[in-house]
Amino acid sequence: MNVFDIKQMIIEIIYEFKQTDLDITENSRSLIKDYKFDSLMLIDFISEIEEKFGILFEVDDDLNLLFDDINILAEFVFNRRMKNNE
Amino acid sequence: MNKELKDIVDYAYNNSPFYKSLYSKYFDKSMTDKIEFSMLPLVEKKDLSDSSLRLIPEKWYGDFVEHKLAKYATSGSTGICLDIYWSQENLNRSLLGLWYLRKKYYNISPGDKCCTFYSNRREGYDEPKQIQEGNYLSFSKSNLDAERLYEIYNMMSAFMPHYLIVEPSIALLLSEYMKKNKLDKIESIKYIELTGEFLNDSVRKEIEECFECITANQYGAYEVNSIAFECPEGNMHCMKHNVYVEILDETGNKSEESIEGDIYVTSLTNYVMPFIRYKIGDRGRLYTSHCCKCGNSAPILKLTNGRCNDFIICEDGSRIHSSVFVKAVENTNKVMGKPIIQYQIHQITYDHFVVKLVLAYDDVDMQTLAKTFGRLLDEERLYHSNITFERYEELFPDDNTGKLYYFINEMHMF
Repeated sequence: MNVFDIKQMIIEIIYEFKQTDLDITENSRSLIKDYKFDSLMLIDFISEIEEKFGILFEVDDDLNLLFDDINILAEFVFNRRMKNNE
Repeated sequence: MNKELKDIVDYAYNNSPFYKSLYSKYFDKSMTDKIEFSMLPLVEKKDLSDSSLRLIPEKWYGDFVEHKLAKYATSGSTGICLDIYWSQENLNRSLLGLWYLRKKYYNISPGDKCCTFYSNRREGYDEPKQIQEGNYLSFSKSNLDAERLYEIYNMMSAFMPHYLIVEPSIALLLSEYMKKNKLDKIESIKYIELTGEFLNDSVRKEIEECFECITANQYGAYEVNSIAFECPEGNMHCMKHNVYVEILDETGNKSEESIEGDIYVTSLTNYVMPFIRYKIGDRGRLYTSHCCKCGNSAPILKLTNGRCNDFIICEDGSRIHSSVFVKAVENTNKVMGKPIIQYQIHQITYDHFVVKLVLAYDDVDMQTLAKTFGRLLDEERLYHSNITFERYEELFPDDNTGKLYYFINEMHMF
């Protein structure tokens, strides 16, 4: 699974949460700013990502940074999976 | 300075009237790349007491006027009245880290049922006794006599909250009442987050014994939201992605590791009302070199001389939470156009209180203010008290602690 695949899966998860018809483009990629995720959705989203990709977020992770850009999130998930497989 | 700090400093300098004015006295905005963060001027609550609105960048004026911003009044810890504004987006960003840790450490989710206590929900008069909004049931802190505590206990039991967010003194009032009346613990409560006041071990022990659940200490302020949160190992880790914490000595220089000093905070998430190198009014020590077993590498904050809400003591031995005065001040300000900049209330005897005030205008009608304050004091046990008002140019912090307490009980019954 490469970064692109991961990003596509993340997008699918976002659509499950928001059921929005807003196109996810380069200009709209923040869960908080663009997709208006509230606290409950964000926490549930974390659980969904962890389960779907077999990773765990850690207390030191900068969640604001990760959820402000799904490209950065996809890279993060990819790297965390690699680290888990080492 | 790191990117997060630089972003907020650049933003504030370019957009906030307050910071434009403040920083331009020290350096040109093109110099932020070269300026050390520790060289930026410090900000105190009193610098903003005439109007915290000067912090707000122009791009938010529309949302402000259309009441689209979340508004909080902060005065309860230091006696200086400020209105704080957040956008919903910034709030969500600010609270994300705290919710994540609540879930990770204590299995608490935003969707779980919760009970809280509030000082003020409605402007001016007609404060509701409780409000249910979604999965939150919130109770007014006013009139917490035995009859009301019993009512709250019953409503809480019926509501079956998973957790509480409450000040230690309120949780203690409830615990003592339950113990005295041999009331069963509320089974559904698995976690109590204690916030808003200094938490000492004996109070925590009482609360844990009564409710038989986990407790955690959370330190924050409306200006920046969560500053530090207790991990299961008992350490208060700074919420490093929400706020940058500094401990400074009386000259404004950084204190050595683990040496006590004044706590200054910089919000990394409030872009509506940026707070940069802002003196929060509490003192503490910071430990950056540690190896906490919880895995969180964020600095550990140990509070000292934190917010301490004395109780008002009645002649019959009952106690009233001093926040009733906070509420009366905030409501008086709302009704009378914010005449009160700063306040401090002293309990002299059971039924005599002195309210010391620093006022915004010379021509404030003290009789009208006194009457309004009295009408807005939402606590029946104080209705027949003698409350006198004194006007001051300035109120000074306590010599020993360096803190300005908003309520002082001079009866020394504790």
